[in-house]
Amino acid sequence: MKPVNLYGTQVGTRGPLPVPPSEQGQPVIIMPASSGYGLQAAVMYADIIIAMPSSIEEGRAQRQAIRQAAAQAGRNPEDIKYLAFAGFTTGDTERDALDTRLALDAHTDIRGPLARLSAYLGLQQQLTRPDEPLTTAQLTAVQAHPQDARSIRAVELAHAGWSPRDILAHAVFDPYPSVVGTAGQVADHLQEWFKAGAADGFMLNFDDFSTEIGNFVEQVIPVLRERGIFHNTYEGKTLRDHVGVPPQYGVNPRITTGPQ
Amino acid sequence: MNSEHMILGVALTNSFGAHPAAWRLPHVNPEAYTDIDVTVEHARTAERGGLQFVFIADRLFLHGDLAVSNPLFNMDPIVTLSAVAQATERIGLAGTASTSFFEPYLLARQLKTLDVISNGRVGWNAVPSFEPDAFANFGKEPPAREKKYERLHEVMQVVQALWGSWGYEAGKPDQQEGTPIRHM
Repeated sequence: MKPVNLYGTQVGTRGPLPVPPSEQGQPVIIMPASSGYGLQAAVMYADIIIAMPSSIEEGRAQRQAIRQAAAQAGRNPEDIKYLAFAGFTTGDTERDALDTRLALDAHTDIRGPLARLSAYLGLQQQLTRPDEPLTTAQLTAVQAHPQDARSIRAVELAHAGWSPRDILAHAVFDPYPSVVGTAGQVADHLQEWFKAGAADGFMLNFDDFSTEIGNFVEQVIPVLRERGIFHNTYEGKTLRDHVGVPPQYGVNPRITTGPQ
Repeated sequence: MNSEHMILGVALTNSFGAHPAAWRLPHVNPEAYTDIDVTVEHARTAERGGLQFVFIADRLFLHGDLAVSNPLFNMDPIVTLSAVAQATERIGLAGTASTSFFEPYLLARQLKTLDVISNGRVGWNAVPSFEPDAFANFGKEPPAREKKYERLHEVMQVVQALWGSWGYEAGKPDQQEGTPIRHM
């Protein structure tokens, strides 16, 4: 055991810390995706970076930018895992999944989301009939904002004949890309992003933990395993093993940049 | 872990779900936000599916749409994960702790203790706080962005140096010989 004697301008320590190594040495470091100062810090310290890209293109671009910055900081880009937020509600059919979501949405005021949907569909006039598919005139008028993944998705759903309430139940305005549908549709989303290099994995969000974590485990995981894109069981014991990041004990000696 | 396989973590940010109305579902216990058994059950379900980790986000102030639901970040993530650690065997335990307020010795000690008692399953989501409400709870004004990240760099390096200060060469205590670990 050795003292640390490390002092910065804001914090410092003499040390040592009398806690022995764990089975993985020390905790894995996770940081949020950011830009500027935040990106610089994340590529220096993080094993896992968690991000909220709204499309495959955005995920790929951000993952690439992180890998490049990591190499510049003296890290192997393979040692940083980029995870994208994603949300899911599953059902035996898409209709079942939508009804599950609608049971939750029923407790919230639809007026705000409806006004927002009208704007995202590029409509001059507010939608007033939440349970009727858009009229032919409305469908002629809708126009997606070309840079906005949510707007593009809302327009697709309108053209597919879903009512405004059902479009909203597809979780188009959740803060991250979400799928409300069958286990196959959920697996398709994960596979498409993963195979496109838009993420090394995902931070899963579920509307209702009490039912949806179990649904995902029982219905989606087997599909991912069948497709060869998720492990069959834990191969190792530690979090470091589970996510495939290298051993580290103490400060990473490969980091070349000190405090800025 | 091979690169043909995706990593899956599950966000357990409150005890109910990501939808603000989840607590109102008839099958949900509306008091689950203080019920550790509920969080443990979610983690065990995720572990049954081989998910790599559970994740608990955090903010250090009263947060959420209080007209619709209870506050979002009420229970401390590290304390919560200590209980989850005892009730699970393999799944990773990732928790958020801000770099803006706590002394690195305290952060290093809590997180490594959790890592040791969970047999090496801990992830630390290290984030600088930015919200004025969080700084107000520590009697402070939010610093400029560069000062916030200066502190983050210092905290990360001091915490990791403390983690490394009990070297592997310290060995194990030997009962027969009556020798503890090598302290220096």
